[in-house]
Amino acid sequence: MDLELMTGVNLHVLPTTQFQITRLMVTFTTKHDGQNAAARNLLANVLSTSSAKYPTQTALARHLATLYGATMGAYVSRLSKAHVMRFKSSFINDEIAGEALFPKVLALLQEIIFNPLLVKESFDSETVALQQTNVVNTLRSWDDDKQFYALRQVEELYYQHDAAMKVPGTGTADQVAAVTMADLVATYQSMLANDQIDIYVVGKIDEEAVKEAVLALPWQPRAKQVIPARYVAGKQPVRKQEEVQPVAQTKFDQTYNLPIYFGDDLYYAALVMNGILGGTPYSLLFTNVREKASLAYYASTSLRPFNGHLVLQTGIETQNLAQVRELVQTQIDLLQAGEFSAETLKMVQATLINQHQANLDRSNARLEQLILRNTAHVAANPHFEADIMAVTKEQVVAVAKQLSLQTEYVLVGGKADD
Amino acid sequence: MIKVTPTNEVVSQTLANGLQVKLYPMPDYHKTYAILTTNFGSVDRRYRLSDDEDWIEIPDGMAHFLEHKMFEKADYDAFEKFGQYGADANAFTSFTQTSYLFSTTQNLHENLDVLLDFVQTPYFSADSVAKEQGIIGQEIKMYADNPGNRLYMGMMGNLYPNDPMHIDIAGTVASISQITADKLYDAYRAFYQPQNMTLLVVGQLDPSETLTWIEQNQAAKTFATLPLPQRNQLITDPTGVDVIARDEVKMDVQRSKVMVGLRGTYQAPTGKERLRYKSAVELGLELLFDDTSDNYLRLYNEGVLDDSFNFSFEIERGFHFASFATETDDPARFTAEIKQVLTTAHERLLASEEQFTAIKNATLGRLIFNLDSPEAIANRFEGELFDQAMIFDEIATLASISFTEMVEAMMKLIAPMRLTQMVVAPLAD
Repeated sequence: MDLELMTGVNLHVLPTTQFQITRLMVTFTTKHDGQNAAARNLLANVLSTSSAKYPTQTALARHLATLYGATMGAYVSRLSKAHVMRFKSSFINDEIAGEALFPKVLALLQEIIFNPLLVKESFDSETVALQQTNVVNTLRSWDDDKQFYALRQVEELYYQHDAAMKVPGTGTADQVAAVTMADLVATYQSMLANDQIDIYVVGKIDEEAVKEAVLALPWQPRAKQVIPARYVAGKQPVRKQEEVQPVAQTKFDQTYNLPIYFGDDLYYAALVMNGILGGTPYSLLFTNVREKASLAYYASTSLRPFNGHLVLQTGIETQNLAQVRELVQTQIDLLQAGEFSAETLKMVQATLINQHQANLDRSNARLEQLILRNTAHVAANPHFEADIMAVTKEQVVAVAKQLSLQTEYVLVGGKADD
Repeated sequence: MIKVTPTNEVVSQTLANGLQVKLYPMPDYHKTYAILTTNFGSVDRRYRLSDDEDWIEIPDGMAHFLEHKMFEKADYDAFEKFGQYGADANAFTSFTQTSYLFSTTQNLHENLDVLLDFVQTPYFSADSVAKEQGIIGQEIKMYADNPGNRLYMGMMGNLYPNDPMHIDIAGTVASISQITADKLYDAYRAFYQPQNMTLLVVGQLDPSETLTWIEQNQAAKTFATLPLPQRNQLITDPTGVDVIARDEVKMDVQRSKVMVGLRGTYQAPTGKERLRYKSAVELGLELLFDDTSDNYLRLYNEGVLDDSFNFSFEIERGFHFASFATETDDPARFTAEIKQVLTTAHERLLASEEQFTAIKNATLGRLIFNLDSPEAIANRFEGELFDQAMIFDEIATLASISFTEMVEAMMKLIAPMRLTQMVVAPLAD
């Protein structure tokens, strides 16, 4: 069920008896402009720490314990230029708990979203200060994971000419550190007044009862927004960057422009192409860079179907860099020349269908699909499997020929510690 | 009051060759998950098949190396076989076990055959061993750059300085260079006997049909009848006096990461008792440390720990420990606070009785979350360690733990106070 409760406020319900747990999510969506992400991230953390009724984390956690271990959290995410603040709860079904949990969980989300811990017109300053420190620390710690660090660098290089896209959905550590109480209050008011609101429910629930309960919350209608969920970079000159850090393994990452988007006609061919290039254990990269040449433990690719590119990641020995770069280029040449077997094509198709069907068994994946499709304005495709099976070698080659190198980032391992 | 009724029967069968099979059907599901596990991990460092044989030494990282090498055959690659039948396959090695798995929504029979056949048909060659040394060498370096892994392995090294748990599961570049095709065949023969292995299949399946497929596959093969291998003792000092109090490594990190380890010395007499002990300790740790506790709030508000704080309790064949970790600017203070809570645990636990029921319900609720995942149901199975308990037995056991039993179990874990602190500190310090 997809229902507009009022202008700008929508309810999406997926009733299913398959799962023992129910998931409830409320999202607030606005345009990511590079400036608002940090305050929204901090706001999500402040709101989910406490509320007027549960003034400490402990009070809130103890309440959740009485709901049989229900989880509740708030965080931000970004889909291209759609910035989404998410409030999420998961809880066991009523017949296991022996009582109706949905109304209680909904009441808790209402409390968290609409009834924060305020002192006069401001948020509790101690809570804000502590959460600000914690969020800044968390974002700085991201640099500790070198694989992720290299990935972020190569992506940032890709977005070099777009000030907003360069900023992650969380905002940067420096941006979060600079958020003031006034920013936070203004962000909260704007979010409540202007953001597109979506309520998602997946689980063993009664649609009508859910609708009635959700309608009782103090939503207000708001103007409809058009938020672009696809980013078109256009081809740029190749940009390369190298950095030395005291790590044992060198990271070699690239991005390739690929202007094919989620739901496009060629999207299915792009999925298959990615599986053949580096998305599966029978891919060209896995077979030739890892298994045959023994140069890497991981050498893989993944699509960015909302942002028009593909990323490639490897971890290698520094002295093998030139050899790996050349071997990667060879795999792309092979792909573009159609030098892969009919068996490989079939295996990748079977794998994609398996993953698609297996995702039906994960309530989190079902929820993500709802959010993705709603945010990107792409209807569900009931012919997914047929569309994957219909992909031909010629289509894969045609898609592969659209790949063009955009950025390359190398994290060079310097002298490692001890 | 929480009530869980398994919707279906768990089918258990030990085949004629000793392979233990467990099947759990989930009719609403599209996928089937199968995991074949052998009781051979990184802590197994030497073995012999009888009292009169000499001990055979195993290079560090052998179980993990063997796992990698199993996928490559003389005339095929197991990943590709699974791919042809539309399954996602993988494998992993822990301190005490090696597991091979697939998940599929199609061709279950064929995929089960692929799994059993590739794991039960060893093929190792000198060339492919040399190539794998390069690949695993990169895997080792990847983990060496990972501060979380260094923190964890550093803590293990402090808790078990004289025991094989202090060695990385993948071994070292030097140790894996000693691995040869012959050594792989020898270890394979000893540890990959059907009687040392378990197959779990969970999800979309017909139990009797699936069991027949497995029986037919096994009946078509002949297996050498060997005794189960004798292994090295895991623990040299059962009292744990050898625990190293602290260690530190410097890495390119933004803030210090600290992990406090608490080694348990209690030895449960049976698998059932061990599961009760685990369930009780998990409840006790929640009462003392989770975000409903006063300790947590105080330490959080004072900035001693933050949202990165986590704790866990791990039991494997022959050893167990609790760990507490956070990112912090003051590792010494964090460790002192954890120690203080543990030292006063008895009074603290007695004072927490009125929260016991709520915490138990919450812990049960989170255990029930696993019922939505065939992978989680299968992966939780630990065989002999917990007397063949499946998740439903775990739920029933947890529900039956009394407040008194929880306090007693906690004191068994805590009283010897075998504590260590491991820190990964920024380079600049």
